[in-house]
Amino acid sequence: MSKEKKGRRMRLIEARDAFLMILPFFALISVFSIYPIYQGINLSFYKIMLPEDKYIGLRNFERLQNDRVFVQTLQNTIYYGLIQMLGIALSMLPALLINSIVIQARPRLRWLFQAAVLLPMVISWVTLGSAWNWIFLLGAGAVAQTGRPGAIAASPLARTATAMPTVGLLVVWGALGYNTILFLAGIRSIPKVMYEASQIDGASNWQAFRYVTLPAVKPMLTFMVVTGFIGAFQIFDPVATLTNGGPGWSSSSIVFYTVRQAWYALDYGYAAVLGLVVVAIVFTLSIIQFRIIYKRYV
Amino acid sequence: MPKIKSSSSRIFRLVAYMSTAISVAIYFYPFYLLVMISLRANIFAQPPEVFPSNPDLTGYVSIFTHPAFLDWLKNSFIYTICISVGTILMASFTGYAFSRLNFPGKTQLFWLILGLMMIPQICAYIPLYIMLARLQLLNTYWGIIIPPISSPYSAFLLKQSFDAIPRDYEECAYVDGASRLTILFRIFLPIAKPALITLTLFLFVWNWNNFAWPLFVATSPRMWNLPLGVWNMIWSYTRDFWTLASGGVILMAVPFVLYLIGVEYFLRGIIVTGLKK
Amino acid sequence: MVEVTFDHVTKIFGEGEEKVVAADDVTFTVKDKELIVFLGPSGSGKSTLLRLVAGLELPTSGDIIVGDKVVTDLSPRERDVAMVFQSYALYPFMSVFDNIAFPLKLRKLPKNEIKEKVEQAADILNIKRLLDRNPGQLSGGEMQRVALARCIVRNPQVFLFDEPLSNLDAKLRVTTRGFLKRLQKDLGITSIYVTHDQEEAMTIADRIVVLDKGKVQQIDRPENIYSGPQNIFVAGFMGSPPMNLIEGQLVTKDGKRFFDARSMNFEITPDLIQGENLEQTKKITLGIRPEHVRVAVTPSRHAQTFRGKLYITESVGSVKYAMIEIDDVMIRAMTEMEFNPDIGENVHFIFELKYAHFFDGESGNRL
Repeated sequence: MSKEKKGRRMRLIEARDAFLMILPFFALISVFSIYPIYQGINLSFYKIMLPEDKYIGLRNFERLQNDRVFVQTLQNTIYYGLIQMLGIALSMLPALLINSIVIQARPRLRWLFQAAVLLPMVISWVTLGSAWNWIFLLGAGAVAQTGRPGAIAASPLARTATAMPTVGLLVVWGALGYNTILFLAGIRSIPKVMYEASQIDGASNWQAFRYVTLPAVKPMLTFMVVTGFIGAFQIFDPVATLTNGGPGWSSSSIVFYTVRQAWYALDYGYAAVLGLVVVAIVFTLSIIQFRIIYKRYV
Repeated sequence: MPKIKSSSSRIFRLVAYMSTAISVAIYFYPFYLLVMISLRANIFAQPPEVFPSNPDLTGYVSIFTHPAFLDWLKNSFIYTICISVGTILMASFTGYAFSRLNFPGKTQLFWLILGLMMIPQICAYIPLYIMLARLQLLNTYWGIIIPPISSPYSAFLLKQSFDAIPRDYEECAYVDGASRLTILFRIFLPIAKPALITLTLFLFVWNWNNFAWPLFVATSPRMWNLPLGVWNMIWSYTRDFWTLASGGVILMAVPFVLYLIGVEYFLRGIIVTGLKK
Repeated sequence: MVEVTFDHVTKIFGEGEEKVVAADDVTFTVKDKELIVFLGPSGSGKSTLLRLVAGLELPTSGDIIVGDKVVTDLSPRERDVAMVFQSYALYPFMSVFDNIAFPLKLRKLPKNEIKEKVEQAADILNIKRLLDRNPGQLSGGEMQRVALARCIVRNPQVFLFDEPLSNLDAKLRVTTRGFLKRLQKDLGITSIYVTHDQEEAMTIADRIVVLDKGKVQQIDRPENIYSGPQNIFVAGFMGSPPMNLIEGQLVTKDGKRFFDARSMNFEITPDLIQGENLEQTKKITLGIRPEHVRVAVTPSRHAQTFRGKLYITESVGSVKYAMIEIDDVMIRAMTEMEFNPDIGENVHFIFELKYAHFFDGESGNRL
């Protein structure tokens, strides 16, 4: 058998094996991910009703243009994104603190800190949401006997002006663990030798931070900040469990609004349009993110 | 970091313990409060009780005796286990294929996976709902379990983890004459176990907590999972707060236990995937 | 005048069972403008001593004096020392120019002065063309020169080198050695150099400090250490291939002393050993370098020929060594290139006794 033939046969077998392995996955993806997206585009031209869907063309899109709520939720979402970015930058502080202090004291402490701070990430917001609602009620000094969450107006989650920022901050609280851990890992991956060299060169602690730590952490920081902003466009659970979007729509994120349209208003056509908008925005932002990361560091 | 002389090291040590204690407190407090409320401790009193004076399990009883509770619990377990296991299986094979095999169209298909990752899941739910309705799969176990199994994110993660494993072991076995299937199961997977366990834990937790998906697909309350059931109770204004708190605590039990058992995996999982970027 | 003095310096890491004594009551002085080499196997404490001078470690007890200041309690930046690390430790996100300029920038020197000094240093090290590059784009040798430039740009009191050549390939190592020594002589700055490679130490050092397990074994000029090792450790460590060390007994008969190692024995005439307290020792070790062992197929007419079996020959370019097996002991001898008996054949060898060293079998010290 000639060498080429042998190689070809092996390659064919390899390809066959590979396709067998990925077939179920891509089959499901096509049916349940790709096709629905195509369907989603389709749907946006309809108003879904029984017994049969009514084709309304671009009416849904027109409605979008005049939709105040849409604008508000989009605004909210952008605010959430900005708060996220702030939160990520802020999470450097505990990371630095823990790194410089706890390392000297005892590594077990660092482990405990990380475990505690990561905990909210594994607990459902259903639980977290109710817990925080109670905390605010407590803080507001409410002594209600039958404290149903929405009834107490003193909680910051129930007031229009403060609902959205509070939700934003709570999302930061929940994600802090994740961010701090990432930063800690990044900081600790800097070889110790760098710090020693800077010490000998004459750097003070602050200068060492500025010239050694910061530049090394910058790529990770950039990535996390951009991802954090994009992540705001997926916020659903916290909103649903803390304020249910209210009061009014003041704390709704855009995804929440979309779901509400679909679920409560049963207006799937319009929800599809909203969904498309979200997809478009996230997709664009992701592409931008790719560009930023790859341009700078590759 | 710089050396510290002994007197300031004592101060630093003190600050270290204190900051850790404070952070841990901040992060445990909400859960502590929840448990207190669920036991009807009088937290609204001034000063608030630290331990419930007479722990009252009425909240828990209400939940346990709720007609749909057992259904919700059962569903939670079924969904979580089935979806997670299904996802792992699929992602393992796919991840392995992309990591170790070559085939035509590989790059394009990989870009497809990346592209799908950039689409927020929730937006696919809507047309998915319509489609499932048409296929009469709504509100059925099949309809709830099968669609989430193909998770581009999981496939991507596993592919990355697999890439990091040196090929030496497989190549050695290959030279010794093992078939690809043997290599996959007897050599590769055991080595990849930590990555698989980590992903499994993440998936379990994620699927257990997920209530947005059943919200769409489970049209009757009997098909809800636990988070959905509790969430519904919160906004229905018909429950008192200790019952709701009990729901929250019960809901939290499973992920919490998983977390305690596998904290190392969670931590390492985050660090490894984070640093790769 | 810059001398570096170790005054009863001890450094202990860890506690209890995990205690490691990295430096054990070390006391000596590095002379002004000297290039002294700390030499020893890994774990001997040589790097620790260097880091103690740098201020990256603090001694458990004892003092360190640089120049005329006691620096024991000072941080590195207050000590005015410069260091080249084994991995060079160049800042990856700064250009070469910025890397070299960094120490000056920290001291807030004016920009034009910085530029001048950096270019001067780059000139000396011949890296001017690399000033705009990033460390990631440099080869190992180039990175090392940048690290050196960063060192000399400050004109410090002391240079510290931590195995700077270990990461270079063998050929580059040899050429750089000479360059380093010349550089140090030109600049005239007191330098401490750490290495585990005894050949490297021999070529560049003005004096060598041989260390083992945290204790100073011997401090002297390279040639003296080579020809006059003070104990078994130094004897076995210096020289490549290493000195032959043969254990034996000291036997006194008829007022004469003999070295007895079964098949190998000979009289120890008074000119061979200087020490007086010979009577107390029973076990002694003979040390003799391969170049002072002559081997041939036929026995020589010299009275003290010994016989063994040829184990193997090793040829290293211009030089050949024969391993001789005798009494379960291996002896290495230097031979001519033509020496080529069969393996296992009987060969005869003699010791050039005037180059022999004797060590106390118990303490290891020279007799």
